[in-house]
Parts: sequence; C-alpha cells; structure tokens
Amino acid sequence: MPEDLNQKMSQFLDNELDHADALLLLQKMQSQPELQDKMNRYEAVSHALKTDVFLAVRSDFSAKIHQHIRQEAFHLLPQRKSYKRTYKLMALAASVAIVTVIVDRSLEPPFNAASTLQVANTQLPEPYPLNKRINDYLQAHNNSVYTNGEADFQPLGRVTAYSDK
Amino acid sequence: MSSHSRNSEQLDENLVLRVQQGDKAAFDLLVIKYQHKIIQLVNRYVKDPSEAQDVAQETFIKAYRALGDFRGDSAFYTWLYRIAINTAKNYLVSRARRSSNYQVDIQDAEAIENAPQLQGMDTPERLLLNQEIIDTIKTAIDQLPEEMRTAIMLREFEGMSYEEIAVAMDCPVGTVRSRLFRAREAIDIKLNPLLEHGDS
Repeated sequence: MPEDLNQKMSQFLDNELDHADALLLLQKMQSQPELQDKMNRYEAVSHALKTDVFLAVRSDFSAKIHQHIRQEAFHLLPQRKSYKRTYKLMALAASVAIVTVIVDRSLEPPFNAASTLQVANTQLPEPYPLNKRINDYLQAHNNSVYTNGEADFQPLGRVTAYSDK
Repeated sequence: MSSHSRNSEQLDENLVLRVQQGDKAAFDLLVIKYQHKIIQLVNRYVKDPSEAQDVAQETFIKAYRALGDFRGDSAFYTWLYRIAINTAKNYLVSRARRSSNYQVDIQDAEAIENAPQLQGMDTPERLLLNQEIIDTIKTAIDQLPEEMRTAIMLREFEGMSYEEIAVAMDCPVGTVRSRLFRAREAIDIKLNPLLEHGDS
C-alpha cells in the first residue's frame, strides 16, 4: 500500500485531512475493501487505547448496507423536502406585502375634506334620474317597463305584451 | 469549532445533499466514514460486538430512509448518533422481551442499561482474545521509538491536534503527521497476525 495513502488514512482518522482529499480517500476506500479494513483497524486501535475494548468491524459491514439500500423500494428513497425554500418564499411574500402597505400609507396625503369633495364632484356622472336609468335599462333588455306613478302606467307594475286579450 | 471539524461537516453536508438528490453511492461514503464510530456507540448500549454491528447496520438503513427529512438544523453526525442511540435502546427493549431467562420488570431502555445481567454477552474466549489484542497494542507502543511514542500518546490520550503536538514536540506539523502514521503502521503490523487468527 502506498505510503502516501497510509499517511492520508492516518490524517483522516485524526480529522486532519482537507475536504477534497477526504472525499478522494473515501472513494478509494469504497472501491478497495482492504483500505476500509485498514481504516477500521486504525480506528479500532485508537478506540482500544482509550477503552481497553477492541472492536473489529466485519469486512462485509458496509457491503451489506450497500446491498440493502439498493433494494429499497422507490417510495422509501430519501427525497429532500423543500421546507426551507417554502418558508423563505412565504417570508419574502409577507415582507413585500407589509412593505407595500407601509409605503402606500406613508405616501398618502393627509385627509382633506375640501379636496375629497372636489374629487367626488369631478368624478360623479351628470344628473341622471334613477327611475329613467332603470326604465332605459329594462327597455333595452327585456321589453318591459317599470314605472313609478307615471300616467298610463300602474305604479311599479310590469306591462308585458301578452296582456292583449 | 476547528477548521478540520468544519471540513468534516462540510464533507458530510456535501454527501447528504448528493444522497438527497438520488446518489446512493454518496451514502456508501457516509457509511464508510461513520461505521466504526456508530458500532462503538451502539456497543456501549448493547455490550455485544456482534449484535452491535447488526444494530449499527439497522441504524444506517433507518438513517438512509429518513435522510429526506434531514434539514441540516444539526450536524449530520449528531443526527446519525441520535438515530443510533434510539435504535440501540429499542433493540435492548426487544431483546429483553425475547429473553425468557430474565424476569426483569422493564420500564424502559434506561432500566435495561442499568441491568448488568442483560448486558454482558461476552464469552470467555472473546474476553481472552480482547485482552491479547490490548496487550499486543500496548507492547507495540512500548517498542516504538521515543518520538513516535510521544506523538501517538499526545494524539490518542491527550486529544491534541497536529499543530499542538508540533508545538509540544518542537517540530514541524509535517513531522508530526509522519510520526503518527509510522506509529500506527508499526502497531498494525504487530496486530495483523493476531486478527487473522482470531475471530473477534
């Protein structure tokens, strides 16, 4: 076994190997079971020195887990749940809504009765009696006429064409 | 947290993300990284190396199934350790129920942890082999050159980082690195024949 690799295993055991080298070493251990066995012995010695218990790992330990997870049914596979993303989006939407309301209110001029009346006057349509508006509407849509006490019409009566007989 | 611990956690985060994206091979790497630590932890509860390995395997399978729910609020290894402890406690409860030899009133897993008659599953042969291995390791350390012995003792017993050992031994970090791996290699060479014959 190359000396450099042994040294990296020793560093990995001591958590002194950088991210990229650690990943490479793990990949090598995955493809070379004898490396995994060696790492397990290193770890077992380290543990034994502190506890006086030597724990050997079965050589097929990780292989059995490997086999098992490859047989897992689809519905059991881990799927990342996007809690964080959903919460972030909701928080963002709420923040935008609050800011919009605050900005809108802060830009509104203080209440002024005179100016409100002026706006109302300019926006109101020209005088147009309600009764005439209703009659116009009904004549246009239903050939029916609602009256309000005018001559030849009963008050609020409905005059229709079939009353000829 | 040291930069090396951050490196380790970063590696875990990277692998967890890959598993969550469907890369099963990334989970194999997490198993390789943590297998021994999980077996050690489980063995503290189960007190039987062989059964500890079965429970540890179950732990990894449970972790794999639950990885979709892992949100990274805690470090991966603390999350994994929690699953291991729960799995070990559940195992103790079911082992006690299966056992007809012990009339123990079991309230929970903690009660079993404190019941020595349910813990010790070591055979005399296993105990003997364990003692032989421990003696071999200690003899191998005694036979190491002084600088290697000091380096491995500072690392294993004092838990010092490479930089701290370098300061204590007044040598470059590279030398510490080299001394530690040579010390481990020397112990491994003495230990290997014993492990090939034994069945621990």
